[in-house]
Amino acid sequence: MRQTFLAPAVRDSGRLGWDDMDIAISPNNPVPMYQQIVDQVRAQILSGELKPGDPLPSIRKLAADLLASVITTKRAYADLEAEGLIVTRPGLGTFVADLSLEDIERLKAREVIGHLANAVEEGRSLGLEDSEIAELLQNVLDGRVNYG
Amino acid sequence: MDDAVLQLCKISKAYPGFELKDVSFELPRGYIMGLVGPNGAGKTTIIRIMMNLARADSGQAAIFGLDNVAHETEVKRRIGYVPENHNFYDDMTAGWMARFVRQYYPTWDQNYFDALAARFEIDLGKRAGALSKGNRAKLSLALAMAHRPELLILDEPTSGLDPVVRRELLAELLDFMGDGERSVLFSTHITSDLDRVADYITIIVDGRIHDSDEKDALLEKARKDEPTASIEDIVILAARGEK
Repeated sequence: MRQTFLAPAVRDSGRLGWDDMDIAISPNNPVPMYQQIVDQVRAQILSGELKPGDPLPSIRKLAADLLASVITTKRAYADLEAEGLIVTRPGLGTFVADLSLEDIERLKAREVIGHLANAVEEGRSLGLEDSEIAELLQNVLDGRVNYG
Repeated sequence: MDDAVLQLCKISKAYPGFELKDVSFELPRGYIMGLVGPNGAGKTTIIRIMMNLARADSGQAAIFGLDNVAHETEVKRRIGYVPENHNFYDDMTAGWMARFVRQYYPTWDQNYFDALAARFEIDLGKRAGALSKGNRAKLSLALAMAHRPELLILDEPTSGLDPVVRRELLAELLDFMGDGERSVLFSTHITSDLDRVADYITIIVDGRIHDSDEKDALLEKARKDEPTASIEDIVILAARGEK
């Protein structure tokens, strides 16, 4: 059974920017817990829910909120920082990086291209012509999809 | 490891029919370690040796870098210990138990204890013997945490508790970790508690250390073969002797 745990919306008033944060992670998900945090924070930054300069909770605070281990949370922040999505300013805390609109568009495109590339590869491996794959994509875009 | 809060070095102890053999592991400061293994694997014996409630036949335990036998009083003042069976004076009230315990701890913080008791909804006027199982576990944890120890040693703290209370206790533990100066050693056979909160896992089977590593590293290794492997699966494989 899949278990999730929602971060409590506001457990104390000292938090900034994170109060609306909504992360759900599960130890039963085969995706490692740190990766679940990375994916969800990245999605929130790219979708604009988190804005450049927004403060993020400390590693230990986030670990306590998510009921995750400190090492897991540390690794998630390290990966997000390596991706250039967040920055840690010593003594001040961790913030969403100062990404320009172009940066965000480029990152969004990279994210989507990754998924599309997988779909294309899957289609080719099943023997579909590229034109057929393109047609299927158009069908999906048009909402004309029959999964049956 | 330069800042190990706990270091066991080749601890051995033989009882009739049971042997703890060359147990070594380290817990770095600021992290939570789960000590897991089947019943009878030796978890409680290891903890009792750390607390100097049992003597090792050989080997050393250093806590905060100090020998735990030679510096017993100092070491114990900086530890919070929750034994497997909560030992209360059942005819006395929970509040009396707090006043009893506090006299042994110069760093006891009464405000913190009161805050914990309020958060745990423990009725301090109630006889300890009349508390529910969940409230006994919570009182035991509050008594162990109130002097703000650097190391909490918990022997099966969640055993016999319902999932709601277990979640509350785990959240409280993570809160307690605070600034990274505090550490927790947590023995349990309910490994799902550790899937979330443990930084390190030490697996003990049949009196011997099977593995001691970062939880994420252990899971990653196991999930190469089985994508949904949990700590429980790892322990079961270890107990079956499949290395």
